[in-house]
Amino acid sequence: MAFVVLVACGAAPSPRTSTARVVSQVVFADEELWHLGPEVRSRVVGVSPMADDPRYSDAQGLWPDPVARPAGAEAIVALAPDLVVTAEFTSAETRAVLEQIGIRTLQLDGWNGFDDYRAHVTALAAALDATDAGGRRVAEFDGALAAMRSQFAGSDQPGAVSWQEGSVAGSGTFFADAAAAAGFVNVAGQAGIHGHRTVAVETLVAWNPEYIVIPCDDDCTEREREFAGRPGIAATRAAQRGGIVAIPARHLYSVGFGMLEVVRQLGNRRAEAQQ
Amino acid sequence: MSRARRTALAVVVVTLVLAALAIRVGPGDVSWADVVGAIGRGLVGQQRLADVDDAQVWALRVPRVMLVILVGAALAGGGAVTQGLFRNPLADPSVLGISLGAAFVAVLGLLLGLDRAGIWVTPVLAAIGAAATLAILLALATRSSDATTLLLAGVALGATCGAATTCVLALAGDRHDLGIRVVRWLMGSFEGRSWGHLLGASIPIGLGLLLSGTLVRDLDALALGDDVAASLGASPARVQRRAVTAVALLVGGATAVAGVLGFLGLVVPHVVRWRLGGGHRALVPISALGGAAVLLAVDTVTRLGATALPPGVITSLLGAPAFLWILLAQARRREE
Amino acid sequence: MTAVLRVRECGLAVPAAGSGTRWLIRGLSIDLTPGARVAIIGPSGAGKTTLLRALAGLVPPGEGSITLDERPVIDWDPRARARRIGWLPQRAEPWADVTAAELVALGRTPHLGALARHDQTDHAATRAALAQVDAGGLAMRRWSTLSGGERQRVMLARMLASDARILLLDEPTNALDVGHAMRVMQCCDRLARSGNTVVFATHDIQLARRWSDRVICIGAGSGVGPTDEMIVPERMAELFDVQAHWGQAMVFDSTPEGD
Repeated sequence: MAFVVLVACGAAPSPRTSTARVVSQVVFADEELWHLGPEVRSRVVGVSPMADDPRYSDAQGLWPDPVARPAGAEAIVALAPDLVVTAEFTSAETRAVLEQIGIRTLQLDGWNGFDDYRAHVTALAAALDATDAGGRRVAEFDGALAAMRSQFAGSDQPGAVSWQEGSVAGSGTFFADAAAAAGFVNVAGQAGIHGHRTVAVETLVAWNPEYIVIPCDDDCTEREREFAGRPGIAATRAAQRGGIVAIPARHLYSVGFGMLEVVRQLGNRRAEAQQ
Repeated sequence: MSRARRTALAVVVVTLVLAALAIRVGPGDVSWADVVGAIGRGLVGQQRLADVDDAQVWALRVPRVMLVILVGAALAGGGAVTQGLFRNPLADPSVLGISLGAAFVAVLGLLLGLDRAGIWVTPVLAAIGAAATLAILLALATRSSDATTLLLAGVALGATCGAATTCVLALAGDRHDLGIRVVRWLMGSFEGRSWGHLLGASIPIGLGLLLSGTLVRDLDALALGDDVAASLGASPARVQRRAVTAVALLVGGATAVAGVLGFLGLVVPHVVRWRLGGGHRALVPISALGGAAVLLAVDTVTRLGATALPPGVITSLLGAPAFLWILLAQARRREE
Repeated sequence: MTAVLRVRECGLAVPAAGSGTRWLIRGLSIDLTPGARVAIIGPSGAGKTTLLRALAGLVPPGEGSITLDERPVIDWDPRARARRIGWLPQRAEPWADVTAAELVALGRTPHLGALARHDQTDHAATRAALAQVDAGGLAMRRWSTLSGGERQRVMLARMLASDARILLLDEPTNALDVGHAMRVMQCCDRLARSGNTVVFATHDIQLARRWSDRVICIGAGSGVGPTDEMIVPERMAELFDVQAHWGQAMVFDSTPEGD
């Protein structure tokens, strides 16, 4: 499912000369550009406005003030970048303007699992002529993942559902990969749901999973308690046996290293329950 | 038995059959025996807390079905009263701005994150919004007893609240999770509603339905205009204040628990008036019953789908073409 | 005879351009007693409708008093007043397409409880009212299918269904042909003979002259008096700013088999 589209606009890309000024419009790239090392960092002139929002970003507080937070095509162009990292959710108008002006863009598409993470990091590193740093970053990710896989491997394989106000993550999602790594069965995927879909509370109750994963901000304990008491939910195995797991949204919906945090928290909760 | 009574009885039977089906169908493996058992245990307060079948029936489906009936009755009954008040078959209960006023305060609460305190917060905030809108309308109605002024005031209030809601959303444009929650609430839904919602809604909606019942004579008197109503002993200003209060209780209560549901309050009274005539003694209660039956059918169908569709979308999607068809049928009949 | 609706030194005003008021009527006094047939005439805009609305208790008089059984008519409980005074406005249309019977039944409103439940008395009164205007056959017809004359008779029945004995009619023959107009007036005549008080406003001087005993003139030559004394060329000339003289006029009557 993983695919990456590298869109090169205007003049044919000549990496050595054209990646001196990079602007990111994707939180994922905000995080990864930082972790690609000091040399790459020095070429970043702008990150996305959400980079410092603790609700969505694991990169808050990382980028110093001289790095701009441009919002909209005008602000991006003003930074005179020679590479802009975008995604399909970047506004179509912004993308069109960049294309017209002839600014090279790297559009990261496809957010369906860990493979996409690897592909996106590799593409990002390649576009910045920092392939080695990209390789190290992917290896770091895979190393941490492998460690947790062996730590959390078990035979019981309890069921988990990721639930955000009715929206669940089926197969072909980051949550599916994270749940599998932590030793869980993704119940929504097993029920035949692919990608994200809105289902009824009744459906969730009928699945009766052992674990329900919900997002929280800084009030995770309170969220778990409130959710466990909701009508219908209260009767599920998850609510009855402490299986409501609230994970900060910036990890739960992360498509970067935050995913490892999801694996860690899920695995730890299962380990606690087994004791 | 009069035609109105026969219709009322038929609609009640349909509603009861739909209600029984609605409790039986849905995800999970719930049999008729489970349904009867769960309801029995629920009625005597002995429901099994850790049993998902009991939870499906008693914590989710029974209160949801009753809430859908209540909200359907509120919107369609409120529509009949609104149309009578403004002497206009195209008046929708939303013209008074009540639902948009409720929506504005509810969205404000979502923006401030107040809804995290519990599932009761948004309904309470929406009710406060509806009550505030009612207070403004009543203050205006005291100054002028002209129905047109009231109608325009309601439209203006609604537009203001709608714009304020959009403004709030625009200011919080970087929070896509907020956008999702707001849109989901505005679309109208009965997802996860339970006894708390039912109890909360039954008070304003119950009062609104009672008040509407006592308005039928005066709404009839208004049929020939304010002066004739006054000459028949029904003070237009008083009727107006009572009707606005009734509609606000009905629409405010419904919006608070279920979000914004379109077209029901417009189409159902229109159909009932077309089939049974304009006398409010039959129109108001039969519209309420009809609204309950229609909304229950729509909600049950949306529950059967694999993806949870908001019933408000279906009521508008089906309601608008149905309304158009009725208008054309009426036009054809007039030409014949 | 006992006066029922008593008008004393009554003045009616409307807001004038700028500040202040314009008096339409001043110093009007008349007793409206059972059996009376009173016509109100005057040029357009003189205040005929305003006077009828004041008599019905819908607006207070600007000065003087209008009393029903010694109490100002405006102070009456609206429902009690509605059982005594019937009012037929010049134009009134139901907004929904109701049947004639439903419309006439509206006349029962002052007698109904809040739930608008009609009992046998109400049904009987509705039927009787329709019969009185010779419209029994129209009962189940919808408003949109009725002709102008039929509509006016149904509206008249609506007023009669309330059992009020004081009947105020604003232009009851407006837009009706001569035959329909005559039948409406014959109906009013019968009502007056059976002890009702009939007050009607009209533009039609011939009609006023034929169907009233007394006339209230509003306008330049205002005054109250017996029809024979009021409808004379001199006063009509003054009232309508025309030249008036006696001449021949065609007279209409019912056909032998009619009525």
